[in-house]
Amino acid sequence: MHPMKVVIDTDRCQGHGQCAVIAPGVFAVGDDEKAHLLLLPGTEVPGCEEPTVDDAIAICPEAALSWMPE
Amino acid sequence: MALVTELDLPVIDLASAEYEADPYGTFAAARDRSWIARVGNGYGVLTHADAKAIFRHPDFRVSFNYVDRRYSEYLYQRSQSGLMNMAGEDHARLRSIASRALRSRFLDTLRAPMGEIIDGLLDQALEHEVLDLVAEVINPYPALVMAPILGVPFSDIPEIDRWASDSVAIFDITRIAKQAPRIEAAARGLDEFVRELVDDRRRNLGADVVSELIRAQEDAEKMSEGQLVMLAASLIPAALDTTRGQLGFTLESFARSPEQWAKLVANPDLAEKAVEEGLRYAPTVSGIPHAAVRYTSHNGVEFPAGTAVAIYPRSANRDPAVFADPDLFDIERDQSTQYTFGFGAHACLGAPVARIEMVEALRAMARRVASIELVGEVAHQPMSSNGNRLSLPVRITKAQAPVGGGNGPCTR
Repeated sequence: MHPMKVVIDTDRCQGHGQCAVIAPGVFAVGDDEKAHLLLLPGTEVPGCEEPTVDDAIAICPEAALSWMPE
Repeated sequence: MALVTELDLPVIDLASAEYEADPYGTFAAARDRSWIARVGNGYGVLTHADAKAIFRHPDFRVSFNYVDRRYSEYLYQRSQSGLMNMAGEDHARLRSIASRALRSRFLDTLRAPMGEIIDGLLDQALEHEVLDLVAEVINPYPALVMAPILGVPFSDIPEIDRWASDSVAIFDITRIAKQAPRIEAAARGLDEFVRELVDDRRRNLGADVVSELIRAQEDAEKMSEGQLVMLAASLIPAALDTTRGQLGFTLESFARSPEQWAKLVANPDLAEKAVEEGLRYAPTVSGIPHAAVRYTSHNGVEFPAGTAVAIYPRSANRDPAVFADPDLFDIERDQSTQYTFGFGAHACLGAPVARIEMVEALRAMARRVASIELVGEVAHQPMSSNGNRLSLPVRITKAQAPVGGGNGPCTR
């Protein structure tokens, strides 16, 4: 298993909020109408959340989410 | 706070001659007064910021309540189980599976066949100097590209197109009342075709959207067979009517702004921005219907449960608070979010397909058409519905020789 970090492209993010619906343990939409990570800065996505983050990356209408390249 | 029914709001009559002649001007006059107008039996959101807020509002849901079960139990059940009528986590899960099927790796494989199809159409169309772009390009292209998308022969396309055209009539309240048996037959035909396609692809996975849905389903194990058929059957009509409509509006915008076409010819890499600007400037979508699911409020206005509130991209996309010179078609403008694909939970799932489909069409045309100019009356469906163009008579001049540029020579 590789350590996995997820990145939000805040320029692309428009705050649709779909990531927060499908992976509420990882993403939330802030008052700035942008997605934010609920994880501590720089930390990896817990293994149990990796499938839901995959879902979130797939569902984002703006393609604003991605796994950080290793 | 004031109850929406008690406010003195601008009134927009979508059936009026004024709106038909100038929908954007009608919206602009109302938007100068208020963020919300009375439209028909409900209300219309006019500003960009309030459109976004209603799309995101937890107490407003997308609401397509067109199928009365008295007309057809089959169509009623079909619409109830559709993605538009789902909400929350179940909906998000199913959507993410569908989104996986449309990821860019698959979409990129469609670019070459799309390019071949548009080039084939242009070979015929460009034999004439004056032509109807709707008949020659805008109508056939989105239908023909369904062949590579679905992985079916071109000979299947006319029947698929007929089913799709008839089945979208469920969104037309006047047609559903008069033509329920015909619409039901089309929906059944489409569903049966898709069920057989799914069976076939299960035995023989390929490079097409149904195979991609099956792969995504097997990855996720979260979607029933019925949901798989529903998704595949709903994307077909969604892909046809709307892409025709939007391509028509976008090409009309160019025909009315020859200097913008010249920009695109000089730099075909502007095709992606041009597609976005076409979506913003001239949306094929009229209202995106929502309803308040409980007593709620927004921006100082209270809404009783059940209040119908539609979002009008033709207004929000031209809000001067967000877009400088909003009534100018400018393919080089800095883009902000346009709402023609909707927004949020029910934003158009097929948007990435529609985008590359239109981008490939514009790229090919920019290579081969040096200039384009409107030469007659544009016939269209009423602007109170989608306003789809029925004819777009233009005079074109062909490009002298295939232009190389960054896109490689035209070798076909």
